[in-house]
Amino acid sequence: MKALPRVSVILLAGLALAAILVPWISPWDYYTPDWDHVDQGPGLGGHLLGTDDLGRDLLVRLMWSCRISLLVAAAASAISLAIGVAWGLLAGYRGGRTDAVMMRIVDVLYSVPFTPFVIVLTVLFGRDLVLLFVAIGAVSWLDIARIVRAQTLGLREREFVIAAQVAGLGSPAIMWRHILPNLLGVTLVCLTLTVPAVISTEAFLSYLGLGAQSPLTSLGVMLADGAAQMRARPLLLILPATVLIALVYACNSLGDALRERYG
Amino acid sequence: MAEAPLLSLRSYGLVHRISGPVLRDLSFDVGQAEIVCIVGESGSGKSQLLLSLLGMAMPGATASGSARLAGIGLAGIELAGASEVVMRPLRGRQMGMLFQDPLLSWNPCRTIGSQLREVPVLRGVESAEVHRRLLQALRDVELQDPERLLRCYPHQLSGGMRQRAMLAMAVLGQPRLLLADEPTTALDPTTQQRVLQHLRRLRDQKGMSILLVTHDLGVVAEIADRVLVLEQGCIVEEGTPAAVLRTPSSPYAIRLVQAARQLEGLP
Repeated sequence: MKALPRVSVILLAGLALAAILVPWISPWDYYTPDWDHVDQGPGLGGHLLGTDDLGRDLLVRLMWSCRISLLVAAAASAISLAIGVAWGLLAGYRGGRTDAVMMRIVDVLYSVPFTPFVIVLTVLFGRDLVLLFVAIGAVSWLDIARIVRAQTLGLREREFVIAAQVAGLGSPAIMWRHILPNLLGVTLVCLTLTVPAVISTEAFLSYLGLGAQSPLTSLGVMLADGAAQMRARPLLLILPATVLIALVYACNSLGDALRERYG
Repeated sequence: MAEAPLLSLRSYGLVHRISGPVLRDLSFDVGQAEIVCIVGESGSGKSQLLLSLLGMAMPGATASGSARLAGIGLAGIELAGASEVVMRPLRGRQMGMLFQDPLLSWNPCRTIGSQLREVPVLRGVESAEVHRRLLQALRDVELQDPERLLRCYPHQLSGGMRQRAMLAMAVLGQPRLLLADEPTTALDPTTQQRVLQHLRRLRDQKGMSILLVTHDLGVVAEIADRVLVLEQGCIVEEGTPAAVLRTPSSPYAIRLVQAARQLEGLP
C-alpha cells in the first residue's frame, strides 16, 4: 500500500487548522481597518505579513480566505455527492428506461455553460455565499452521477446482489445495504477529484465578483484585489496565489494517493 | 408417489429474444423431500433453469409452458411468466438458492452476521430472537464459534466455511425448495463431502426438496434420488443415479460417464 504523501497531509492539515482557528487566535479580524498601518510591508505594527490598502491584516485575511474556500468546498462537495450518488445509484440499478431518461437529463445539464448559468443565478437571487454552494454543487454532481452509475451497472450483476434478490430483499434494501457500501471506494475517489475542482471554481467565481462579497474575503476576492495593484504591491497577489496553489496541490496529491489505495 | 409433487414442470421452455431457445420442452417433477440432480455441460441451460424458476432469468428471456409450485392455494402457484409482485414473496420463503462460488455470493464489505440477519429481519422476527436464530443456523451447519463468525468479513473465512454459512443463510429462510447451482464445484473434496451431508440432512430433517445442478457425477452418485441429463436445453435422459451412471443411454451421458471413469482411473 502506498504511503500518503506526507508534505500534502501536513500542508492540508496546517491550512485547515488555520482556517478553523483563525477567529480565536488572531488579534485582528478580516474587515476592520488599522488606520495607523495602511499599505504596509511585512512585520510592522504587529502585522506579520503586512496590511492591504485599507489597512486590513493580510495574514488574517489569508486565513479567512482558506476558511471560506474550504467551507465552500465542503458544502458544495457534500451537495454534489448526495445528489450524484443517489442519482447514479438509482439510474444504474433500475436500468432500462429509467436509466436512459435519468442519464439524458445529466447529458442536457452537462451542456449548460457554467459561467452564464451562475451569472443568471446571481441576477435572479442576488450575490450570496449560499448561492455559490448551490451553483457549484448543482454542476459538479453530474460527474459523480456518471461514475457511480457505471460502477452500479457492474455491481448489479454481481452474484451477491443476485443472492440478495433471491433471498427476497426489495430493491431499496439492496441499493442501500448491498450496493452503496461497495460504492465507498469510488465515491471517495470522486470526492478527491471534486474538492480541488470546487476550490478552483470558487476562486474563479469570486475573482469575477460572482462569489464571496467584500468585506468577506476568499482566495478569489484576494486575487482580484491583488491583481488590481500588482505593480505596486506584488505580495498582495503572490500570497493568495501561493495559498491557492498549495491548497489545490495538497488536495490533488492526497486524492491521487487515496485513488491508488481505494480506487 | 402418493403425495403431489412440490414442483412440477410441463413443457417448460425459455426463449431468449436474440439468442433463441435456451430451454426446450422440459417436463419433470420434484417430489416432497426429494433430491433431484440435473447434470449437463456448460451452456446447457442448467443455471438459467434455476434462475428462471425464481423469475430472474436473463433479461430478454421469456418462459413458456408451465412450472407449478404446489402448496400455495389449492392449485399451487404458476411460476412461468409470473410477475415480480407474485415472485417477490416466494423468494427466500418458498424457494431458496445456493450459488456456486461462496466468495462471490457474499457482499465483500459487510460482515457475515449483518448479511445473515437480513433474512429473519425480512420476515419480521424480533431482534432478540434474530440473534438466537443466527447462532442456531450456524451451529446447524457445524460451524465453530458462531459468535465470532458473525463479526467476520467474508474474506476472513475459508471457502468451505463460506459455503456452509451460505447454506445457513438459505436455511434461515426455511424454504420448501432449495435450488442449488453447483454448490460444491468450488470446494475441495472433503469440504464437498460435508456440504453434501448437510444438504442430505436438510432433506431428512426438514423435509426440504432440493433441485441441484452439477456436472460432477460423484455428487450425483452421493446424493441424488433422481437424475436428469440436460443437453442443449432438452432433457435427454432421466432415471435413478444407479441406472444413469451404470448404463447411460444418451450419447452425452455416455461421454460424461466415460470421462468421469477416465479421470478416476488416474494413479
